[in-house]
Order: sequence, then structure tokens, then C-alpha cells
Amino acid sequence: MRYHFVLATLLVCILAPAAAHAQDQAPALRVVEVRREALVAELVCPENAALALAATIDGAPRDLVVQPAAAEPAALALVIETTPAMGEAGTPHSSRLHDAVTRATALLDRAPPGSQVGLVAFDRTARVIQPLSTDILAARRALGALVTAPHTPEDSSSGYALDQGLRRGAELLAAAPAGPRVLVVFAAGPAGELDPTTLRAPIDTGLSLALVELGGPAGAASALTRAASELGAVYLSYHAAESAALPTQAASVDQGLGALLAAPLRLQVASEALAPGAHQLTITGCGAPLATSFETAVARHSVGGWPASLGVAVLVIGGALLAWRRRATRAATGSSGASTARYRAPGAVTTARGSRQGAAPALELVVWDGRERRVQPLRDRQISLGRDPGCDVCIASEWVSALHARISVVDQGVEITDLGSTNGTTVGEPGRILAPDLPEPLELGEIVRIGPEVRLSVQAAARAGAGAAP
Amino acid sequence: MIGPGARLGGYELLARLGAGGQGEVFLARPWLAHGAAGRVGRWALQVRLGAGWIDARSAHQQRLAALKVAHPDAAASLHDEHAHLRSIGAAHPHLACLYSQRHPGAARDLGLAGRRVYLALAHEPGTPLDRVLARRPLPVAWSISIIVQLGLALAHLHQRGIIHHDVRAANVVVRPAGSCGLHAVLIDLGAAETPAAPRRRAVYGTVGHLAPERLQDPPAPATPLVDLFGLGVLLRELTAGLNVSPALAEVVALATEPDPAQRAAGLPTITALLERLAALPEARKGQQQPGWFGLRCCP
Repeated sequence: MRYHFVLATLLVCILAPAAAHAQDQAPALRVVEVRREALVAELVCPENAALALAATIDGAPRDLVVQPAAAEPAALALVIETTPAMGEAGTPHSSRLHDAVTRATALLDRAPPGSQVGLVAFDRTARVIQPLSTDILAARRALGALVTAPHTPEDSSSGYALDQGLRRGAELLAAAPAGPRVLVVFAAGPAGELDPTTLRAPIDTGLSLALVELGGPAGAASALTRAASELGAVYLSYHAAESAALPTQAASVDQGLGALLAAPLRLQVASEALAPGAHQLTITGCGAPLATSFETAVARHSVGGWPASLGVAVLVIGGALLAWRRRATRAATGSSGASTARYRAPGAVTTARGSRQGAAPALELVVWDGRERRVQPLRDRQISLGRDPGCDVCIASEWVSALHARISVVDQGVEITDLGSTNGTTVGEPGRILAPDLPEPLELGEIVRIGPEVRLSVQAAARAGAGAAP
Repeated sequence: MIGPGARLGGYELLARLGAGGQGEVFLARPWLAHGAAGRVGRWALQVRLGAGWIDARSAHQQRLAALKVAHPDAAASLHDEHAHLRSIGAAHPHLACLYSQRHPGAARDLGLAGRRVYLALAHEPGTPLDRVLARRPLPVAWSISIIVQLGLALAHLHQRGIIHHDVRAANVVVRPAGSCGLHAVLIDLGAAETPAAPRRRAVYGTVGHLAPERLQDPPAPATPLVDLFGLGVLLRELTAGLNVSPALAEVVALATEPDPAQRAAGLPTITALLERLAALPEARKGQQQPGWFGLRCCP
């Protein structure tokens, strides 16, 4: 027993610094929890679309379950430079200020629903254009006003109040509710040098920072790259000499900014039969392969001690009893060696012959989960619906049970069966409430309702992808 | 990831009973917050399973389940089996049943473990018939009794419009019944089909046990005669190499007739087969025939 305690203490000592290290760096891939049969990792992937992710541990491929990231409302503070330098030419046929506004608008479009936005402009001094609010439309209007009605300071004395702008932005975000807090600076850079020490002070550590330099030649060390490294901010450059290079530039900036907002994907990687010690997890399919190392704890019950000894004793005694009983049975039936010759079961092979009995009707399932409409072809003869990612049709709604219902293609028609769900399933108008586990025929186009917002229906597969919305 | 000791939905896995092309089968019991006592109980059950000391009564008392965990691409078969078993309604003594039909309210029958679907059935303790046959031939009277029990189960299915479609020794579990004879239970409705509303678009079954008309191209529709053929083949296997009466040999020949029309002419239904079996001299002589361990067979 004492060994267990010492071992646990040692383990905590080994793992605690590693965990602390992982938190302050916040890398794209992070191992959150190591369990005996699976480990849970968080992955921030800029392309949050359908990813083809694959996991390997120490080079050996492993099963991977990806849980969709729930988009959490974020708080955004956009700090935009409005000095005369911003009026200079940026990307082809555009000024730097215009570039900043375009990219900021693109970021607002990507913000998760319910996000709050605040705007700060700075030149010689910093001023809040819009306090933090969920009114994205007003924020877009305020951004547009920056271009159409430029702010002109009373006197032409120079100054560069990036530090003030940052502080104002941080103040806005301090009032934000829990959730990701992102501060993005769009700037062209000062004429001279920046004093980095003035920048450090107002920034609290809970913020994600990004600095977008407009008009600067990419790759060159400027005052802003130094400021970004001083602040620990993500540095992005938005500049293109030719129109042809513009789309890739815009995409890379949008992606870099979007990554700050992206909620991490939760990955569950099968990790059974791993030796205790350090291992490396590699995820491919999200840009370049990402790797992180983790440690597996020494499983408690494999250490030994009395439970294992008792188990071994029980198994040995059980095995001895079994052998004795077998021998006794054989003696009682008087069977000799000749009659115990193995009997071969004839042709014990289960086959599925591919001969099709009539073509199945081409059907598709239309799902409205309260936020988006999805159309999915009914390829299998049994489709499971539920909140669990393991279901064939995964509906992320609190009204849907983990395994809620199934849709069966029977003969030429379709049946729906409620699998004992918590909130039930209703079919048609006026609704017939399904009895658990009993199939109910479903007409094409008939609407199935789960809770107040989830709707689904089965329709004949549309030729050109156009179908009636449920 | 899935193995003895793991938790699956409302169940605790105890041991692996078998594995096949479609998935794995585990012995399980309802999950309770067991401590060390629960672990000891699990070991005890594992030892008893290995030694064959689990009988129908203890399986019922311990509320044991047989959990079929499908491979990710074979989930449809489990959904089919669930739908078929649920549609049967009342449980039949010679037919596998859903866990909730024997132990209502304990846990859900169908669930998900990662991407794999599992189906909980009431555990039928005993030995698969093919393993019993591998050791030694059974007395003829016992074989007939097994076929009669399976025939009753199949007639029950046919009444409800379901064809089992995969009757073979590996899908029959037998256990000692009382002081003599064997209790047979037909398991695995994974290949079952409903002719009124066919689900499958391919033919599932076992070569050698599946009626020839189903192996043609294109296959004939599934009828109760398919199960009659499977039962006939099983009877032929059970009595292979034994000295049987001409009447029994004729019943076997009629049931395993390759042409479905001639099979239907000889034995139109399973019930007709059962009547022919009851009239056999072996069935009547069974009372005098010694069984295993010198036990006498009851009528």
C-alpha cells in the first residue's frame, strides 16, 4: 500500500510541471487526459470543416473519435490604426486602412453566434469607437465609417499610441463574460522605433493576441514584428504587390485570425496496450503533422499487491478444478482417445452473396437541427440518429438522446423506430408520438419532430440537389 | 478498448464469449457501483463460466446478459435483430430474447460504444450445439427432442412472419434440462428476414445449411421452407454415423430435398415435420434408451 502512495506522489511530481507547461504555451495539439483505454486531446485546427484526421502513437496508427467543437461565443476587440500612414497604398487598388477594414469584417463574419465586438482606433491617442456589444451589424457600420469618414486629428504632431490602443482594447475585454477573448491589432507600424517596454504592462495573460501588419513587406523585421514577439502575439502580414497573390494572402490572414476563435476539437484516441512511460501522439490531416508527447501512468492494478495475487490464486484453483472436472467427465463417459477426435463443423462460413434483389429506391434524409440544414443520402438499410458522434446521423441538440431513433429502409418504404429516447419522437401532422422500439411507417416528405427545433424528413433523392426544405 | 471489466452503457463486461465476422459477444451484467466486492464477484463469475458452472437459474439471479458488439460496418444486422426480437413480443422458451424482455427496466437493449452498436440479449447459459457434437454423438432420442424444440421456436417465428434463415448447430445453445435430456435455445437472428417487408438486398446465410433455392442467381424469395431445410440438415448432422430407422432417414431426406416444390409436397410446414418426428419409433423408444452417465431419458 505504501508503494502505491509513493508512486502516486512521484507521478504527480512528473506530470504537474508538464501540465503547467502545456497550459502557458497553448499549442495547437494538447493532451488533456490520459486514461487506460483512451486518451483525450484537444486540437485547434483552422480549417474547421470536415477533417480527415488520423492519429498515430509512436508511429502506430490508432482509432480516433473526433467530437465536433462547440462554437463558444467569443469577445473580440479590434484595435485599428488610423494614422496618415494607413492612407497609403496597401494591396493593389486599395489603401491600408481599407485592407484593415476588409480583413476585420471577414473576421466578424467568422465569429461564432453570440460573440461580442468592441472597436478601438488609435493614432496619436486611442479612442473607443464602439464598446463591447453583440451588435455585429453596428460594428460593421462603424468599421465602414472609418474608411468613409476618416478621423483627422486637430494638430499634425506625430505620435504612435499603440500602447494606449492595446490598453483600451484590454479594458473592453475585461468586462467580457467567460469565453475566449481575442484582441486583434491592425497597424501599419510607426515611422521610428517602438519602445517595447511600454507595450507589455497593460496586457493581461488571458487574452489571445494577434497583430496584423498592413503594407509591410512580408518577412522583413519591422518594429511591429518585434512588438509582436514582445507581446507574445500572433504576427500576420497582409501585403501583396500583385493582384494574383491577393487571395492566398487574404486566406492566410483570415485563417490565422480564425484560429484564435476556433474552439478546440476534442479527440479521443485509443491508447490501449501502451507501455508506461513517454509516448508521442501525432495527428495528421490538419495541415502539417502535429505532434505532442505524453506520459502514461503505471496502472495501479498492474503493480501487484494483494488483489492481483488473490486473482491469480482464484484463477489457478479454478483452472485446476476445471481440469479435474474434465478428467472426471471423460472417465465417467468412458470415452477413449479415438472418439475424442475433433469434429469439423461443415462449412461454418457465413456469406453475404452480392446478388441484389431489386434496386433500392434512391432516398435522402433532410435534417434541420435548429441551425443548419443537412442532406444525407440513405445508403445503408439501417440509419441510427442521435447526439452521439458514433451515430450515422449525428444531431447536436440537447433534445436528442445519445441514440435516439433509427430509420430503416424496408422493402420499398421507410420506417422510423424511436429507441426509447428521453424526449420522444413525433411523426406527421397532427403528431403521432412513437411508442418506444416499435417501428412506424414514414411517408416520403412526412416531417419527424424531435423537441421544438429538430426536424427531419425523408425524400426521394433530388437530381440537381434541390429539394423541399422541411 | 472493449474488454472484460469495461463498462458499456448500463452494463459491466465480464468475459468474452466469442467473436466472429460481424462482431464480438460478451457476457455482461448490469453496472452497479461495485467496489472490491464487485471485482471479486466478477472473478467468481469468470471462473464459473470457464468451468461451466453457470446454469439457467444463476444466470437469471445474476441478471446476466449476452452483449453483441457489432463491427462498425455490421451495425445494420444488430438493428435488424433488435427489430425482429422486439416484434416477436412474448419471449419463447426455445428462442433468444432481448435483455429487457427478461429483466424489465434494468438497462437499455440497444446502445453505442464509440462507433460500435451493441445489443443486449438475455444470456442463455449452455454450450453451442456444434461444440457438443464435436465431442461425441448424442443419443438419437435427444437429437429428435432438440429438433422438436427448435421446430417449436421456428414455428413461433414463422407465425409472426419472420424467417430465421441461419439454422445450424453453432446457432443453437443446449444445456442440461432437469435430470435428463437437453434444453435447446435458438439464438442469433442476425440473418433473419421478413418476406412481407424484405430488408436485405443480399443473401446472408451459411453454405451447406442454406437452402439451394436461396443460392441461385437470382435467389428465390425467403420462405419458411428455408428454415425447414436448415432444420433437416441439422437433424442429418445430429444423426450422422448412427444407426437410424428408415422412417427417420425418410424425414431427413424429405426435409433436405433440394427442390423447394418437392420439399413443400413432402413437408409443407415445420408443424408437419414435428408431427412426423413425434411418430418415429426412436421418439417412442427414447424412454428405454440410456443417455449419458447411465441416465435414462424421460419421455
